[in-house]
Amino acid sequence: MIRYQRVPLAVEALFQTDGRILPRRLHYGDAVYEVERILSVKRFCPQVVACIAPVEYTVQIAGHFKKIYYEEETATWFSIREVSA
Amino acid sequence: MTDRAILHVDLNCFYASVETVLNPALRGQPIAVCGDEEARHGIVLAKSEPAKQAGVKTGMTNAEAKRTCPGLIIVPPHFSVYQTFSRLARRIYLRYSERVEPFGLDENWIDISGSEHRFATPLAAAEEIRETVKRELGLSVSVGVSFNKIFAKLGSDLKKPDAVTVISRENFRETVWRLPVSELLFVGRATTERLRLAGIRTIGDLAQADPDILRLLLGKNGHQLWEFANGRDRSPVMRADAYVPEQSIGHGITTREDLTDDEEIRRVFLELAQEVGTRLRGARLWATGVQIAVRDKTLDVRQFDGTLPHRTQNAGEIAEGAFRLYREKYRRDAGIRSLTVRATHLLRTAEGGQYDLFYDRRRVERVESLDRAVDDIRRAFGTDAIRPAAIMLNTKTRLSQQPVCTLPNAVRPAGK
Repeated sequence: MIRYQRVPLAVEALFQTDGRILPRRLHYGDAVYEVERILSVKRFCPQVVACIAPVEYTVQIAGHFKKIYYEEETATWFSIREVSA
Repeated sequence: MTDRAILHVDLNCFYASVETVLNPALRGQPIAVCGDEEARHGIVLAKSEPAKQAGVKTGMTNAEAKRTCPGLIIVPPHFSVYQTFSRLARRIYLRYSERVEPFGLDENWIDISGSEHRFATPLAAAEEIRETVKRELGLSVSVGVSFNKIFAKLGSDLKKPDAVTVISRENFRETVWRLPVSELLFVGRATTERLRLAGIRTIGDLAQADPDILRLLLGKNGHQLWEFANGRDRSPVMRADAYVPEQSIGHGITTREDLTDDEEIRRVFLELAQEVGTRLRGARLWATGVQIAVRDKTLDVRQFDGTLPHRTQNAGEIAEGAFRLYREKYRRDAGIRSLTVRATHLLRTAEGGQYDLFYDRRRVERVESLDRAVDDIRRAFGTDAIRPAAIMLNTKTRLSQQPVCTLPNAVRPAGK
């Protein structure tokens, strides 16, 4: 059975004048990853980890597609990891 | 003139659903959001769909609910998170119309009339809202679509969860009229009983009854209910930014132990009225009526309304009015578990209102001056810094457990 875990992320982001927030860099452990492209931005509740109406960003990092989330209510970024039960 | 298009959106099993968003492992489980047993709030506030199917009902005590559904998972409420989700849901509705009127935390009416350019039908708008709330918040809603608020609300109750029901001018007789009259908004237990005695059991019976007889039976509400049953509700959906004047200001408490003695009850009314008086003065409102709600240990609730001798903001006068009402109207003799006092028929000015024969303006002015001084002390030193001595005898309320005097720098009097 697959379980999911919310993984907190440290993110450098650009807060634009129109209110949009664009992630630029992810700090993960000792590594820093550039966000190469933002493919989509939408409000989406993944329903597998605890969260309050986050914004889902589909981004390209090191050539891979990845989903990261920004939760306005707590002003935190996170990703979702699959863990085996 | 074209018909209005009104939606009523109901967040299904709201508190319980939010709990499953906060803890997805609870999804699909029988869960109940319950108050704190130690504070004697140990009743079911909300339940998930599986708990509902197992027979758990809102208002059951925690123990009863556990007996009904042995696998029930009880979780404590998180009211501030529910308020957050309620606000986020309203933010979604406001994308569709500026006419969004809340009805509690989990229900809203939305008037989407005039948005035909955006949606082929009101049903299409309802479906889109239902899907958006689910996608963005992870919560399911049921939506009623109709040409008035009453039927829209009824529609959202007909199919649950995660569904849309349309009640149109063409189908309302077949859809609505067969339902029990208690399903209609504003038809409570007492009204249902009075209608039943008059042979009115369904909404259709009500719609086809003589409105003059209904007026005799239920006063002006009787005629209004007849209009509702016939689809003639014309009340508008308020704009989201509309100022809605306060109708009442109230305060209630569940006591640590049941109240059995009249003197004890009078003192609890006085304690509750402190908060009511302060809020009235803060809002510059005067009460000319009082309402009490009394819940006994069997969880039976009775509510009574009365008038005050003159307009007032004074806690003592509100408490006396509440206690008089209790003595005159309350007839049950089981121990009392909770009491609520509400100041009603509020005036926005110190003038006006009826005065009784013994109205003494000078005395009233002295009382008001004293109240203002008490408010000043409470603002500076805290709500419990000054209280009527009678309240100190209340051993069954939580307030009486707090320190008598709180100094501004958190230094307590010696010996405390």
